[in-house]
Amino acid sequence: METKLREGKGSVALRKSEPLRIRTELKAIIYLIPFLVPFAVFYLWPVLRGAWMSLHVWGIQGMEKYVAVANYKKIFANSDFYLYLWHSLYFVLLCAPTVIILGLVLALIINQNIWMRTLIRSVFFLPYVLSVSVISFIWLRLFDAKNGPVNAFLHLIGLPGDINWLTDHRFVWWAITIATDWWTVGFVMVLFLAGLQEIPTDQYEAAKIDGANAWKRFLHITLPGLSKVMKIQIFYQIISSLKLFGQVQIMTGGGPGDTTNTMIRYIYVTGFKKDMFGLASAQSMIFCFIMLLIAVIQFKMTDRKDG
Amino acid sequence: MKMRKKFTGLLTAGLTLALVMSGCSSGTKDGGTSSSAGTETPKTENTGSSPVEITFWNMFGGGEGDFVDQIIKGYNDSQKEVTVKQLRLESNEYYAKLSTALSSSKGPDVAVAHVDRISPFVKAKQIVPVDELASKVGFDLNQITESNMKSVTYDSKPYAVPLDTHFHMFYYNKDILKKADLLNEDGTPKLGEMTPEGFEKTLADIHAKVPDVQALAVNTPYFQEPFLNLYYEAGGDILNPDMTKAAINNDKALNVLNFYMDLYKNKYSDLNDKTPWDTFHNGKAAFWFGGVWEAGLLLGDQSLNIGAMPLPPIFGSQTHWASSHTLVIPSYVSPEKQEAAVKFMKYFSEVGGKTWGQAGHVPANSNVTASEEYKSLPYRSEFIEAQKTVKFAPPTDKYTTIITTISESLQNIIFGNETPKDGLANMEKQINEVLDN
Repeated sequence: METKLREGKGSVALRKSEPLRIRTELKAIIYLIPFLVPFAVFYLWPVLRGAWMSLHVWGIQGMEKYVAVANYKKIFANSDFYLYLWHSLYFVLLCAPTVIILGLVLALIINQNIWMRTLIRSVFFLPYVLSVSVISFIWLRLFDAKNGPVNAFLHLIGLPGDINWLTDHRFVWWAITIATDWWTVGFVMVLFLAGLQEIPTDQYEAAKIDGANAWKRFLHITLPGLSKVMKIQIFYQIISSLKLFGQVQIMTGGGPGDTTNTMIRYIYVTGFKKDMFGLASAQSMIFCFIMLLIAVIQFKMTDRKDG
Repeated sequence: MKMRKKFTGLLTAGLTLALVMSGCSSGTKDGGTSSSAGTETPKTENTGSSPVEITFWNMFGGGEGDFVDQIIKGYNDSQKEVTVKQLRLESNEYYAKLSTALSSSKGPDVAVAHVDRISPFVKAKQIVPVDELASKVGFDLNQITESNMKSVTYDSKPYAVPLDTHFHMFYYNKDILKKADLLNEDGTPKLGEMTPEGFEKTLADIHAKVPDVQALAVNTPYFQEPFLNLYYEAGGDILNPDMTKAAINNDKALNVLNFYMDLYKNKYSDLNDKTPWDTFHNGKAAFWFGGVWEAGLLLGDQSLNIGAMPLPPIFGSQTHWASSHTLVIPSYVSPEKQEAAVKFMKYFSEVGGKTWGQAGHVPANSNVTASEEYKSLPYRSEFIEAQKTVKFAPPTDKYTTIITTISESLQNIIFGNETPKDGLANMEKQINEVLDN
């Protein structure tokens, strides 16, 4: 009886709230419009249009003919696609771990009460405010095989011979990684610093009293304390590494050969250099789907850990 | 109270919405005025009281741009009928913008286009033939060198006014050649036998005697240019005569590639040099296949002690790669403005050509190249000689795609990601796919 009554009450309340909810929803939409309108015009519409274009042969003169999924078939039949996709993933494997570890180390150092803390923090953060073209040109000069400071420094510490950083298969990815790490490590560091400041100091004090050494304190207090920030960082770094374009375009032009040609540069060349916009749109749709897939997998994995 | 709060909320939202909407509407209003202005301008032209203003698009930067500025200023000062306003675009995105402009019928009244780029515009009828317009304003197209005129002719009608021919010259550093004992009395190089082996021997001599420089700086970043030069010398073609299939996978191309790979392997040329043009300019290379547009820089400074001659016929013939800047008039331009545009073309070709010749490009107007003024510039007789054997790109509307495919594949070959043989086969397959579409 009692449960029945409660049920009845609940349903009444639900029925009553229905029109109210619609009104609240509507109100929310009105508030969201300043975001939704530009989002739809500058993001959703281009994406939909891209999907539409990907079903056509689309040249420099605009639409030529409808070809259904022929563009997609062509992409999957081309071995270049798999190679450049691998290059993009390879860069994630190189760049994401290095930049996160470096950022964490820097954050830990700067979080200590050291001399000239603000200055050091600024020095490491400064590159992040530069645009990708600026940092690429800086490192293009630095890595110059003949007159570059990097090789000059290596000579100074006694390394014989010149390293052709940007034209040697063995070094070119490292050159790109070093440039990118230098560029973005400041941002990673700042996020970790914010995370470190959230960890209560009494935990460290308690651990010290219990006799935990620095390494154990790091492993059992700092790292778990940073787990939330860490998840965001990994997520962000994977996505931004996948989007690698500016550095390779300027520093290597995808070279030597096509050693550093990434998915984004592949799309760029297909679309803007070869004027095959339909094919390029199809490539973009596929790559977009792959990135979404990676994002979803990551969300699922981190969610499970939280639960 | 609650009612009032709700009301305020709605008001704010409404206000925001109104602001956004007004933002949109002002945008359409702008569009409206600009299009109405577009239709109004011809009316003012008809009265004939004010000069016709035409917009001129180009992609010339740096030194070339200064010469264009001079020509435009000279034209605007020389008469009162037409005013030319120029819009200089970034060369990398120039064609993306120009083709958008042409297909949306909004943009320049006259524009620069490379000869290998006009084919799709002609095919889509986006640019107009210039012969009738030219005769209307008394511009004799017969002044233009025949090979140039032929390069812009489709169905026996010229669709552009060629301004110049540009190609590569064989530049040599006299100081280095002297050290290598390879300089004649008259300051020309001793090149030995004109075969790949003979030329390699010359390079080997330089390499042995002056080891700290490159014997030949090869334009590795834009390897398609040195490749095409020698491939054309060998008698090769990119496409078959009716432009339906690739014709690049053959022994001629293979020999040229092997020749260059040999130079890299023997260290006559440095594969890792990302700025070979600077290397040569700084006196660190004996030879360089450089563009005529580098003439001002390389030949203007006597202290560099650099000379120039047509590319040596290493692979047999003198035929070599060339392109050309042309002026085109879009179809959407009103008849009045078309006439104004062609008057400007006449000036650019007949008078501006003299200025343009100083930039290094060989002017397409034969009256200009025959003038004493032009001939007095350094090494220009060599330039005119070299101009006689140029080969333009095949006039297909797929050329951009094809040349990009070739340049990417060539990079893969010279950096060892593919063997020359596989690379050429791959290139052929890709080009055929492009042509089939």
